[in-house]
Amino acid sequence: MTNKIKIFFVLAVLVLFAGLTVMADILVLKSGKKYNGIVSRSSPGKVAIRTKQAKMEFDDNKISFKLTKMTPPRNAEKAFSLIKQKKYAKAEPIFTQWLKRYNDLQVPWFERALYGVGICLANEGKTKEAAPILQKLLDKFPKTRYRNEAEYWLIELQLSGKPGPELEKKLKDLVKNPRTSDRIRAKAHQGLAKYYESVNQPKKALEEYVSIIVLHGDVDELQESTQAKCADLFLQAGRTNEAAFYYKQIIEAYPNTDGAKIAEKKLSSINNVKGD
Amino acid sequence: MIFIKKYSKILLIIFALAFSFYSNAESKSDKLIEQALAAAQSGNTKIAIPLLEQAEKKHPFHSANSEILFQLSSAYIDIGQYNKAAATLNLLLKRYGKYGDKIARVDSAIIAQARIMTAKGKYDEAIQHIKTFLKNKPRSAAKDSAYYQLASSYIAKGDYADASKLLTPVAANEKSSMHDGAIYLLANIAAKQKNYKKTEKLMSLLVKTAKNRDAKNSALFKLGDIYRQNGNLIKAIDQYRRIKSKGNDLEARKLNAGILFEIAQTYEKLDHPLEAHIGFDGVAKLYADTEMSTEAWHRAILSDADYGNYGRAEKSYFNFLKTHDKKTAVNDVRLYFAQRLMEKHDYSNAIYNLKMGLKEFPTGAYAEVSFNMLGIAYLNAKQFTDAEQTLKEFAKKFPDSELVPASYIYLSEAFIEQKYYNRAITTLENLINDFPSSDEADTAAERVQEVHMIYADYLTATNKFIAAIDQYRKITATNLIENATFLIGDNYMQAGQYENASTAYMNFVDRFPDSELVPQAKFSIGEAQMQAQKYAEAEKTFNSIISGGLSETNPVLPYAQLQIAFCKYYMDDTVGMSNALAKVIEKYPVSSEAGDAYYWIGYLLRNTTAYNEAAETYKTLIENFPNHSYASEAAYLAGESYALGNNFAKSLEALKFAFNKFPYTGYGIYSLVRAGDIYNQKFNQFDTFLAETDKLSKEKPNAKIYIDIAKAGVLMHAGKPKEAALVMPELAIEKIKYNDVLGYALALQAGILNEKKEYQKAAETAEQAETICLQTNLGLDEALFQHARALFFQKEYESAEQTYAKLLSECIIPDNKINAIAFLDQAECLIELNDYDKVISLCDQAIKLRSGAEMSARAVVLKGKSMYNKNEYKKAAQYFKRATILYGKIKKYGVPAFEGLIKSYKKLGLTEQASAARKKFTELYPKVQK
Repeated sequence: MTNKIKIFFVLAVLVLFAGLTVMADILVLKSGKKYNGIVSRSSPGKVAIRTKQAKMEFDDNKISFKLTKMTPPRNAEKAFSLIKQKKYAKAEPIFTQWLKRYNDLQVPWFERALYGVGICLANEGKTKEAAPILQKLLDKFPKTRYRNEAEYWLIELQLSGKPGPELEKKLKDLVKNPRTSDRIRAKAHQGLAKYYESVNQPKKALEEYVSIIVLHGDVDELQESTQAKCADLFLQAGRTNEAAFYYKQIIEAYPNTDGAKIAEKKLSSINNVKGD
Repeated sequence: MIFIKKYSKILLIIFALAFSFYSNAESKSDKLIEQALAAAQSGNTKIAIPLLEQAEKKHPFHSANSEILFQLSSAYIDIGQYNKAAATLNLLLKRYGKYGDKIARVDSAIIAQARIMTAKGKYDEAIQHIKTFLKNKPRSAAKDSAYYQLASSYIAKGDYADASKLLTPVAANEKSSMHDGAIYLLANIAAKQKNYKKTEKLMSLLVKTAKNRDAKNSALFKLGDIYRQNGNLIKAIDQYRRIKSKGNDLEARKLNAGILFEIAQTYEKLDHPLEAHIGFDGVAKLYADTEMSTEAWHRAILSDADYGNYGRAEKSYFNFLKTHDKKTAVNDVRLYFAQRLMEKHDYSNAIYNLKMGLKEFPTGAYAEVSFNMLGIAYLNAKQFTDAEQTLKEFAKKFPDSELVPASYIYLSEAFIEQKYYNRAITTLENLINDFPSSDEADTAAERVQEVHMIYADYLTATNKFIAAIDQYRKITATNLIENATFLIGDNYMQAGQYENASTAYMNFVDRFPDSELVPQAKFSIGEAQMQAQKYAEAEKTFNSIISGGLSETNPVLPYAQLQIAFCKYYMDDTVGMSNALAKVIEKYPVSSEAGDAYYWIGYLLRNTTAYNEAAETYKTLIENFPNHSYASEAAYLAGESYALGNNFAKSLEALKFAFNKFPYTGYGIYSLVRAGDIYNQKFNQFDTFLAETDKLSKEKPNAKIYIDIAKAGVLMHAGKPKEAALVMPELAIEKIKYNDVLGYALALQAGILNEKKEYQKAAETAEQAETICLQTNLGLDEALFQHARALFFQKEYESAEQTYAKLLSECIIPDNKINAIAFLDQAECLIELNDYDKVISLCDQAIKLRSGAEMSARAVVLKGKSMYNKNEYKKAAQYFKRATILYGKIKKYGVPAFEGLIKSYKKLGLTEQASAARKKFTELYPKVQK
């Protein structure tokens, strides 16, 4: 082995070592002091770091979470890929591991863990467990990039329970809030409509459904069911002109579906009455 | 170095890994370039161009410089700055042209040059440019993009066939980056060729498969436009409402607000107020920073009112006034509310809104219209005083308003509605004088004439005939004068001024000789002459109508001939009447008057005691005119005529026929009653009658109730009220459908109640019967009789006497006994009222009817009573004595006769005769001594 080769390998090992050193968590205090090691939540309000030398504990308020770096989980890509493939049962244990690993730390991986677990549970129909996780995500990370998805699911989950005036207020706030995304606003309108239907206020429900149609026509997944609701509620209110309009839209936009068949029947009954 | 070369890949990975962990901070150049590219991506050229220019200027050697230059040139093309765009592309090609194989934007730049040429109208040059590119770089990654551009140039040139040929394979390749664009262009071509079905198919595909929001938006927009052009608004709006720009910058917000505003407007046109409201409200609230938010808020309020949610609309309006600077933007809201409310006849809320609107914008652009409408709203709400006051105030406040003349019209209509015709006429005349050249003046002139007519009709209806004539005389309008002149005659007739009526009709005939009303007028002249008892003149008039050349089918002719018969009658010329009636039958055999003629011939024959002939005539009437208004009566009269001729067998046959032919009419029932009376009184076969009626009930189950009523009537006449009550329970009356039967049935019911001594109920029932019988002209005798009896038994002698008098003067009572009772009851009432003058005559009439000893006994006793009360004791003693001799053994009348005789003798001082009478009285009635 020539010297040059030796130098090369030394350099390579040094670089690798440096890389591995970087792969440990870096806890940064507000004072500017940094510690390398394994960071974890030791107790509420306190964070521990185990360095090569010792284990230390700091209050949350002394830590700069923005500058603190956590090592990413090895299976990050796989976990998100499973969500994409809608394999929630397989993804859930991975995200649950993350939850434990980044337990209650104000860091992006904890944020992702909350999102992952919440979404998996919600899709698995585990409403009761999913809702608090997603709510925690919103509370802990108010500016989270997953906000829309979380809000969307929270509305869905809360509606599947017994919606009450509290949910109504929350949904109204969402509708009013200019920062709410279109998709969430549409979902909030749907939530309000369903709530009003459940408390037998069809007129109010209709207005919420119409809001989805007029203001959020771009939220594709809500259109067909909302058009059907509008048609039925308009018919119930005796406004056959509008009801017929929506039935026609359903027939033309979703031909040969069950919804279109129902719409055809109802439309013909309206026309018969008019013909009378 | 060989080694380094050998292991260079491993080293690169190791360094890359290390670099990726160490490098956190982004460089300033990266940030600027990232921002510039993001702005370009958003399509906002205003923001993108300065950023891209800055990026190019400050970091010309940045690795993304080729992208910066390309995006900058694209932005320049977008805003039409083709020279700058061309220069930028040239710079890009100068710097990176030789690295064309490695830098993708080099090929894109060459293609973009063709885009500029096309934009400048240099189509052939552009086509050639692309063709050269494709020839030189057949394997370029931007090949599809080149095809796309080439096709665009062909389309711009109008060569759709070549364009389609190029685009079709690109559109078929889902992996191609130009897939969406190719479909879009193909749809464009189809649309240009007006192949909308194909366009719709392609655009729908694009909407489904579009890879990004912009592509989807433009596909939706295009598709919406296609539907709209084809008149399918339902589908068009379903596309438009799905369009939304994802950005949140002002431009994107403006776009979204604009689309939403358009959607709301379309819903408004489609008469979908809720959707329109939500759309406008959405623009106002979600895009409050855009220019159209104010108008959107305004329209949201109006559409909410259209939806019927006035409460929310008003709240939103208040909020606008409170928070918005441009208050005048909503100054029409109240007026709009009022208009909509008035359409729904909700005048009180319309008034509220108009008043509020005038308060909120007293000098606003809509104050004048609102003021005027307030008056109209008051009118519609029938608040006439407020309406008058408001409209007058309006005319004062806005004297030059074009609406003032119309307000006079409205005011006059209010007066008409309140029947203040004179005030209406004055108002209209004021309008004519004050605004002589207005359109409304012409309307008013016409209306004045109509009001005179309406007023005259009103006066006629309230029996103020002469005042009505005054109004008719004021009418000069050509469309009304003919009727008015005719009606003057009618009013004189109704006022009983027959001479004037005759003159008026003659005047009408002179003035309007061609009027369709002339025959009617001439006929009325005849009638007026008849009323004036100038029968000969009337006959002449009717004859002149008949010979006047009218069409033979004119309905006046048979009627005139019939009237001639009546003229003859009034002139006591019964032969003439008979001949005239015969002429009606001869000349107009199928006219309804021929039926009348048979009826009156029957009447004449009965009067001359030619009962059989009368009966036969009635039968002819029924045969020829079974549906004539006299048919059922004639059937009954046929039976009655045979009875008068003592031909009771034929009478029975005719009466039974009458019932069978008209079972559901009053005369049908009445015929059955008379048949029962004859069975009972003439043949003493009451059981036969009952058996026959039972049989009839089985034959005609639907008529059972009517048969029962008749049975009850006969039982009543036979003095069997209890049985009558059993046959016709009270409930049965409720089942009677026909009024003429109902009246008679109620009268019988009253009789049953009288027999049950339920006099008050009987009086009420009889009174009800009387009202119905008066309308149907049947059974009135029974109703009056039972009513009078009920009153008599309740000792309401004055009312009872009046009712008996009415009965005896207005009705023919076929049953003599009942007739006698009526006379005697009336006589008794008069005695109770100390009015003795008529008593003797009433009693004599009762006696003349020979309806049995009991009736005669009662009559003689009443005569005695009357004389005694008049202090004419001698005459009283004579009547009482006659009564004791003839009817002394009938206890009911014998006892009062003896008592009256004893008292009369005593008054006359004839004590011996008194004692003798008392002795005889004691012998006959030992237990009745007082």
